[in-house]
Amino acid sequence: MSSMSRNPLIEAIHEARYNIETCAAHERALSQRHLDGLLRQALERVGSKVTPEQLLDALFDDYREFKRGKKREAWARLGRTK
Amino acid sequence: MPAVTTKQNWEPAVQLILGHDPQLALYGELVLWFHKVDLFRHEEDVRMFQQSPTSEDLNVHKELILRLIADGEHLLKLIEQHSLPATERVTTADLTATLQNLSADYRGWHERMPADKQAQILADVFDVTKSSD
Repeated sequence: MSSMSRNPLIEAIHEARYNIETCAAHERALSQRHLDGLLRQALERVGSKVTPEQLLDALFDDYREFKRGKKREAWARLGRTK
Repeated sequence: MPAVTTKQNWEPAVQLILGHDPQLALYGELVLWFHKVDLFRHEEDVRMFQQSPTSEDLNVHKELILRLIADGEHLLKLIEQHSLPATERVTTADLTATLQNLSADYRGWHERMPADKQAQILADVFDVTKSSD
């Protein structure tokens, strides 16, 4: 887990973004709506004029670490079941 | 002798360009595109997450993700013209969401936001400072 993703809202945004990548094709729109809602919530909370895309871009480095952690967990699980 | 209708005149071209069932053909292309995205994600996991990517990994990643985005946008235009079979579970919105997701990853990997802007946004929105990489 990265240092920033200990913030619950950032953690939720990372989870939602990761879910779009990993869910079934027919669930992607629903997952995207969830992510959009969280991004809106983060921006409206502080009255920011930053766009949701810019916020995602600013979070990318942290998201990459979050995703790396998720993958490590998944690979470890796979290793145990082999 | 019956007159040849306009539709019959166009038929060879229609068959060649749109196929027998344009909606179904398009749905098949969409399913194939989603499979390509899945394969890309798998290779991305191995080359970009399981290890530190080399500059060559980054070049190939950029080429593939741009191609997936271009193909997906092309499919989106075709679906706007012909629509998808109403009985299928995957929708245009799922395609759009996947395109948005790929585009965000493209920007993250290959069009990085300047560090000072990134830090400013994170400080303004979450009141956090980014630790050094």
